Amino acid sequence: MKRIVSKGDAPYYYLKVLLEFEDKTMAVDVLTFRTVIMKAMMSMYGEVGAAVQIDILKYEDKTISAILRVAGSNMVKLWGALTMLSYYDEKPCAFRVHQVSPFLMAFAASSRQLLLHTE
Amino acid sequence: MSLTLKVDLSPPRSKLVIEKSSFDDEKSRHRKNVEEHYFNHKMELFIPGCAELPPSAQAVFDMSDDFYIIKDLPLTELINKDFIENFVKKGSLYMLSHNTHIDKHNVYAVLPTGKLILSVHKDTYEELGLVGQPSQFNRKVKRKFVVEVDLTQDIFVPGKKNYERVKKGFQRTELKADFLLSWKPRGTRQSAGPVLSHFEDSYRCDRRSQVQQTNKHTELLLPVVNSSELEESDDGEWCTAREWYEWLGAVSCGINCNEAPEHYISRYSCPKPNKLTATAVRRSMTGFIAPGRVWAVLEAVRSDMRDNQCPSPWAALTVHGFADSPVSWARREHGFHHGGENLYTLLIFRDSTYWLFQAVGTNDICP
Amino acid sequence: MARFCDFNVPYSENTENLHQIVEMAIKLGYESVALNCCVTPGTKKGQAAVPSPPKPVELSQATLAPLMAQRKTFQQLTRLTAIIETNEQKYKLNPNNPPVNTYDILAVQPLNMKMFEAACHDLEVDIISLDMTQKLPFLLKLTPIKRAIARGIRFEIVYAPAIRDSTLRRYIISNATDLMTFCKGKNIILSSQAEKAIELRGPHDVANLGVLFGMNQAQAKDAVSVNCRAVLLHAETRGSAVGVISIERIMKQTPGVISVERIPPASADKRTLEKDSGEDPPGKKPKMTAQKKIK
Repeated sequence: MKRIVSKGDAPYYYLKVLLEFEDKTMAVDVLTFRTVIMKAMMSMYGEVGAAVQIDILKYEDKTISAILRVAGSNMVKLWGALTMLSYYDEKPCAFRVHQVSPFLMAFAASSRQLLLHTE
Repeated sequence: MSLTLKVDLSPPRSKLVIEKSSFDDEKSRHRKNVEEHYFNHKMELFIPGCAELPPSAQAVFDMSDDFYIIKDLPLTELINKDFIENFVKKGSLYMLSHNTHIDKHNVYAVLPTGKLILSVHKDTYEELGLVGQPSQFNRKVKRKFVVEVDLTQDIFVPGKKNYERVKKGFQRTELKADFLLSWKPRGTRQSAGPVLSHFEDSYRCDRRSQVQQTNKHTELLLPVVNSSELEESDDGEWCTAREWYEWLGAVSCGINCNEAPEHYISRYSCPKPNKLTATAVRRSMTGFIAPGRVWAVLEAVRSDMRDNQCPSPWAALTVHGFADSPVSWARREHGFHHGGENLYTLLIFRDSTYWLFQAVGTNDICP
Repeated sequence: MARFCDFNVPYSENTENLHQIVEMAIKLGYESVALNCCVTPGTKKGQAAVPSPPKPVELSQATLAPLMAQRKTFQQLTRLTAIIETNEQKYKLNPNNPPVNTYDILAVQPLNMKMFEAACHDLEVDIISLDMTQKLPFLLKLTPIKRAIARGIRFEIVYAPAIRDSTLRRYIISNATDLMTFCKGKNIILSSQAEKAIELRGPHDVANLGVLFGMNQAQAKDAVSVNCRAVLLHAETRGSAVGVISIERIMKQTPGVISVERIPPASADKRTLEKDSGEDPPGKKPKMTAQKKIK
C-alpha cells in the first residue's frame, strides 16, 4: 500500500465561468473570449498579468461559458481580474464565476443545483 | 503592532489523497471508504474499451432505487420513539436536510450509525441547550457548532434526562427542514415503503428516482498508466496518477482532450503516453445514493472484470458527495468555502489492485 | 444566519433600474440588501435634514419563486449614509431623532480628520464609509480605528466604482490596502454601490476581491456575510443599554441555561433582545459604554 497526500496549494485551479453582456445578442468566438480574458489580466496587472498562462479547456459559444485552467498561484489574480472586467469593446459585460475548484472532476456534479420541486 | 500588510494571494487550501492498494489486501480500506461516505450525490462509472456496460454492472444500475423527500419535517419527529425503534434501529437510515447551505444555514443529518448530527449557528446552539463542539473551521470566532445525538443509545428513551433535554431543545427552537431520506431495512429485501407511510399522514412526502445518464465515446485517447506506480517514470513510459485524475475529470466534464487546440487557447491535451481506444462508455446516476448502491456497483464491475466481460484495462468509479453535508467520511466534519468538494474515485485494475483518489475542499479534514 | 448581504444598493427615483439591481442581487445569491440613501444633512435652512427611508422594491412572484423553492427569504433593509464635515451636521445625526431612527442601518462618511475621529470615538453609527475613489482627505491613524473596532463599528469598502473605471480602481485598491494595514482584515464589509445591475458581482467573487485587498480567505468571506450580520445586530442594540448588557451575560453562560438578566433600561428603548453578539469583541468595552449610558 502506498499513499500520497498533497495538502495546501493545488498545482492547478479550475474556474467555470460565464460572460454576460447587457446586450444579450452578442456573439463571441473562442479567440475573442481568450482576448477578453487577456485584456482583463492586462488592465489589472500589466504585461506580467497578460502573460499568465490560462487554458480554455471547454468553450460553449451559445452561452459564452467556459471552463478555465490556471496555475494555483495565479488563481486569486485571475478571479480578481475577471471580477473587475466591466466593458468589452465599449459594451458593458460581466463575468459570472459559477464554480471554482482545484479538482476538475468536481465540475461534473453540483449538488447545490439539485432542486427538487414538488410543485 | 507592526503596520505592514502582507497580501497573501495563495488560493484556498485543498487536499488530494492518492492511495494505491489491492482489493485482496487485508488492510485495504476500500470498503470502509465506500461505506463511510454516507451522502452521495452522483456516481459515475467509466469503462474504456466497451460500447455497453458489462452485464452485472448494467444490472445494478437498472435496479430501481428510490429515495424520498419529506417537506417541513420538525426535528422532534427524528426522536420519535416509534421512528427510532422501527427505522433507525432496524436498518440503515440516511437522512440529510435539503436546500440548506452549510456555510449559511443550519444543516441536519442522520447517519446510518444512528447518530443525529446538527451543524448549527451560534444562536441556535445557545437556544438549543445541548452540548456540542465548536466547528473545526472557525475555532477563533466560534460561530458554528456541531451537536451529536446518539439515537440508538439504550438510555435515549422518553422519561430519561438526556432524551427530555433534547426534546425540549427541539420544541423550543422549532427547528425544521426538508429532508432527503433513504432507508435500507437490515437483512430482508423488503422495500423502504414503511418509512414513507410513517411520515405520509402528517407531512408532504415525495418519491424520487435517481436520474440516469449514459454517454458513449468513440476514438478516445487513453493515458497509459502503470498499476504499480503512482509517480512518473524516468523514461516517460506511463502517466502519473495526478495526470490521469485530471484527464478523467476532463472526460467527465465533456472536454475534448484528443487534440490540443491552438497554443493561445489551451495547452491541455491528453497526457502522454496514450493509446487510442475505439469506444468507451460512461454511465452516471444522480440523486441521493446510499453507499450500498455504490458498493454493489463496485462488486459488479470487479466480477465483470474477473469474468472477462469487458476487454478494458481498467474501470473508474467516481462518487461525488453532497457539498453541504455536515460530514464527509464517517464523522469527519465537512464545510463549504468556495466549493464543498468531497469526492472520491476508484481506479480498478484487472489485477485487483486499485488506486483511490480522495479529494476534499478547503473546510475539510484530511480523509 | 450568515447569509450573503450587499449593504449598499444606492436608492434612486429610477425604480426600473433599482428593480433590476435588486433582481440581479437575488439571482447572484444574495439574501439581503440595503437600499442606501446618501445625504449631506443640514445644507439648506428649514429643509428636513434627512429624508424618510425608501420603500422596499416590490418584487414579482417570478423573481421570488426560485428563492421560495429553496425555503429562503429575501430581506430588504434601509440604510442612511450621512456625509459629515462639520459639528453641526454631526449633531443632526442623533439616532434617536426621527426620521434617522427609522432607518435599519446608519452609516457616516466623514470628510475630515476631526469628523473621522468623532465617528470612531463616539458617534452612534454602524458603518464608517470612506470615499475611497480618490485620495483620502486625511491620513488614517491606528488609534481611532482601534477604538472603532472595539466599539463594533464596521468599515465599508465598495467595489462597483472599481469596476467602472480603472483610475477609481487604482485609488480603491490603494486605499483599501491602506485601511487593511490598520484593521488587519477585521471589521470590514464589502458592498457594491452598484448603479447598474451589470455592475453587481456574486458574493464569492466579491470575497475573492477581498483577498486582493489583503484579507485572508476566511476574513474575505466574512466581509460579505458574517460581518454584515454583525452590522445589523449592532444596529439593533444601538443606543440601548439593555441589548448590550444582555450580550455579555449570555456569552459567559453555559449553553442550555438561558436567562437574561434585565437591567432597568436607561432609555425607553424596547427593542427585541438579540442573543448573539456575532463579532462583538468580548472585552469590557461594550459594558463600559453601557454603564455610562445608565448614569
